[in-house]
Amino acid sequence: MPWNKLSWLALALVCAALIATTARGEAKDVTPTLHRTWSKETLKLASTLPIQDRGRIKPMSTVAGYAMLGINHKRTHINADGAKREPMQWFLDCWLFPDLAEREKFFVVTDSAVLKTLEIEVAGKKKRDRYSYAELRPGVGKLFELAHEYGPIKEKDRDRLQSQIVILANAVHAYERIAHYLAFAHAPMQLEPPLHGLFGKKSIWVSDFLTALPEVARKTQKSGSGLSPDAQAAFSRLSRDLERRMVSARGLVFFPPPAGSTGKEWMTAFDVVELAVTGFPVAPAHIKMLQALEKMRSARTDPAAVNAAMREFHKGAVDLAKERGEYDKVELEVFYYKQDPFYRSLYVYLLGFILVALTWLLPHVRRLRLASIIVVGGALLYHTYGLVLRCILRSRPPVSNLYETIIFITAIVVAVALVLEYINRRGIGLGAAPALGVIGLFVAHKFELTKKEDTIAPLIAVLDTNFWLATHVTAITIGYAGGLLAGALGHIYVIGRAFKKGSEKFYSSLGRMVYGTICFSLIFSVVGTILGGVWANESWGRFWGWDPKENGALLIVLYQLVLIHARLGGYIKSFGISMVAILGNIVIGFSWWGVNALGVGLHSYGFTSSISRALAIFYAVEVLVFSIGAVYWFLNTRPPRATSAF
Amino acid sequence: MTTMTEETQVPETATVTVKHESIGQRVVNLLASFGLTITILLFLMVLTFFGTIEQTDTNLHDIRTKFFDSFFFTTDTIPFLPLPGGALLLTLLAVNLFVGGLLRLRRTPSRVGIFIIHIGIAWLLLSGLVEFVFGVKGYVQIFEGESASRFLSHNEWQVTIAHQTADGKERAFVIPPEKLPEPGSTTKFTAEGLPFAVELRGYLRNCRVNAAGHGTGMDGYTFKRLDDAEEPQNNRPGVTAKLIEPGGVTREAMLHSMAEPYVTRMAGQRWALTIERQSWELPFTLKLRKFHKEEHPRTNVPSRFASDVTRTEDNVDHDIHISMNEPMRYAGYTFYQSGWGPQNVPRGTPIKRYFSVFSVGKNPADRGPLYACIVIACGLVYHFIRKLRLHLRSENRRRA
Repeated sequence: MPWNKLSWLALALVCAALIATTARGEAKDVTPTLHRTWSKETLKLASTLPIQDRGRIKPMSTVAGYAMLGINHKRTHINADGAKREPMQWFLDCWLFPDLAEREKFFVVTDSAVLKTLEIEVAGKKKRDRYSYAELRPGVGKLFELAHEYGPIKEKDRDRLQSQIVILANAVHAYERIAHYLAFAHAPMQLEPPLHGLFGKKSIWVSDFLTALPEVARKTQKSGSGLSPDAQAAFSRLSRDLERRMVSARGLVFFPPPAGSTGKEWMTAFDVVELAVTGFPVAPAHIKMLQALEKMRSARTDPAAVNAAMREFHKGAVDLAKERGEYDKVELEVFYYKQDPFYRSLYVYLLGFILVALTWLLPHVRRLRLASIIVVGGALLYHTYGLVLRCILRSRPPVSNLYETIIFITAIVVAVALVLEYINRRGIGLGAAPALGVIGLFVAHKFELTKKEDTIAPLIAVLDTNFWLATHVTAITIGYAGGLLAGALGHIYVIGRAFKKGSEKFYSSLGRMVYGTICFSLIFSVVGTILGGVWANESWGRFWGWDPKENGALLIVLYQLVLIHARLGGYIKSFGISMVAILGNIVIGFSWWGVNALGVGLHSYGFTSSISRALAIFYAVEVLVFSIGAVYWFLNTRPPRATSAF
Repeated sequence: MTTMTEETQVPETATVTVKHESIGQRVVNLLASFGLTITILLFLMVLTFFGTIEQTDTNLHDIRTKFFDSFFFTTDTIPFLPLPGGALLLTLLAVNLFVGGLLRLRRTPSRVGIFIIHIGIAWLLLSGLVEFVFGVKGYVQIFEGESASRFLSHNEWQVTIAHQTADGKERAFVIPPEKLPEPGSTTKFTAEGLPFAVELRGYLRNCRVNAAGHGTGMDGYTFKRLDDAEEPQNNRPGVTAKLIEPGGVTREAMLHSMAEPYVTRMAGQRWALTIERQSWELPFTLKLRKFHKEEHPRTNVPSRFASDVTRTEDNVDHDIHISMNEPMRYAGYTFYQSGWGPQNVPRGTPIKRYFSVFSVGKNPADRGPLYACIVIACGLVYHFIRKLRLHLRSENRRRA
């Protein structure tokens, strides 16, 4: 029987794989590798540590996640010993064991020409490969030098090599700010003999030094004569040692200012020490936090001690953050990323689509339809739950950046498709909803991976208004969603017609759906566009400035008006409406994404070449489908009189 | 194949062919037709597309002039084919909307929504026209502790000829921006009360004064033409002025926007000539008391900027707060928080005095677009909900 043959073949493959694994195991490198088992509590405490990063307070897990994404291009890494590392584990590995972490190959270099430029030679590497920090280290100086030169060049004007160098420099910088942070806590500072009496010991931790500093100053002032020349020289060398240790402790801003401080800026370990040595009093809580870091670093091989120190540091940071009212949403954000609602919804949509596809194969099984409705509806609910979480986290409507527009538009597209299904009940909306849900959330996922930046970034001043975000931006994005859904339904219409599938009733219904969806979209596009003008009038002093983004919105309104008037005038019917709806997708793509690539105007956001490529592919697909429709129309339905509608 | 209801539907604005219709009737039919609407909308799409794409190479001011304020334009892609510009298309659209969408629209309950929508669009176009004709835009920059009672144009320049009258007052003759000569041409001005004629030539939109060498140029200097600045408000124009007294006495001067006024004696009086930004007097004074700027912590991303100002009119003071999205509207003027300075100061460097930049607009139709938006939204919602209800009824009948 074939099954038996397959079973034997599978068994043989498994055996071969086992032998290969054993053989590799025997020849395994004896270099120590990172396979730390961080306790659940340590990981939880580290995850929920509040930190000020890129203008907002967030959990350490968010910082770790995006740092790992920027360096590793993924949120998981397999260590040399085969252990899988999640962001927080990876972060603690790098933070507490930089000497081991620097040998792990988690730096992705997409073009080996970068290494050639940096004069780094590593044998046996592919064009796109992974490197360890130790391998990159010889070229790091030159890397930063070049990145400093290329950084000011606009992203769209950089060539490939320049872009790659800037990306790699950012990754190395992100790694260094984590891995080098605890250099000051590696060991106590050695005191020279002239200072032994002053400090009452032969070596001193940074935290103890800060504690002792006021007393030392008091002692020297009391003696009247100050420090002896030898002691002065020793103190000066000690200061230099301190400065050398602290200079790398500037990457993580997780010391909240003590109670009573009105400043918005949190501090790094470097800032705390700098404040102390310039004569300002240091908050006792900060000293305790520094001590906790020193304990953590010095006892790094003892999981229990690390956990105890982490608990102490966590308590200090959280208490201070709570006093300032800045801890409210940290744990919610950890929960949000742990839930990963959009990525999970993607899989539920996929399951929903499979079920819908089964209903096409087995139309007589009625329960399948019910099951698919439940699954797709469930996916939409979970998707919406994710949006609600984001709204709570940001205290804003979920439309304040490109990433959010993707997830929001996808939800609207799915919801409208389900409403269409409720109205028409022909399975078209039910089929389109999960398919578009999968595509939309996949695009969102890829966008996040490509940008590698926090998607909950603070807003610039002009966008800091919930009223206009909730009205103009929401209306515009719903308009995009309606137009895109109409375009997607147009695809089904045109391709179906071209390949002669489906009944006339089906196309009649589908044609009405495309038109109805365009009408729905038009309401929001028109209102959103005019409201945008009203907002611009409030903020910039002019209603309409012909800015690329404004023009993009106008183009959407215009194509939809063309479609509606052409239908009312009898120039086009269902087929024509579908064809225009497909072209409308290009207009929406241009308005939503394309104008950002121009790099001009008041609405220009960061754009990468890979996004431009994806956009070009999208345009090509739309043109292809339109061309198929055009060929079909020319060959089959072109009426004898040129004046007749199509 | 007429299986779909829409395929048998009669067009909404009836363009029924009538035999022996007059030329006037035909013109009206054309102006009211869907065909014209679609053609205008398609050309508007083409216009908007090119007007967007070309912004990568050209500044917005020139784009507006070339594409959106013009009757025809050409592009680098198809230079031989003049395409209709924004002014022409919007005029045609207004006519088409008025004739086809308002006058000839059938007054039936099913058209009420469409009628409302068209009213809203007409309102929007009218607001745009009012702003275009009567609107004034400019800016005012005020340092903390200082006041201003004039605002300046961003891009328009004028030549001012001023002198002090016998009673000590300043009297100024202004040659407005639209009367400045085109590059390469010469224009002569006279005015009642001005004892000499002024001849302007060699106007350059952006230039600098260069040493021309001995025996050339004017007193050894000449204007060097520069490419337009990326932002048109950064252009620095220059023009050569010749003052001609009836008696034959002449004076010649190079006026440059960055230079001090040219001062001379003509007809027994001292005159000062200058090229400066066009400006308008305000009916009140605005004093900047304090400028506030906040950034997201440890970033250079501004989170808020705002100004505390005092508006003084007839010796009465009013304290007002102007911030992003919260402008000051008064006496037909609107003041928006648009900028501040000094900028690009190294982090940590103390700034002694900030200045605030306000965009100033005077637009009689300032709120027009908002009201038009409300009208259009009502029309759209009414019309499409009505259509949806009809559709749902027919679907229910089909299922029943």
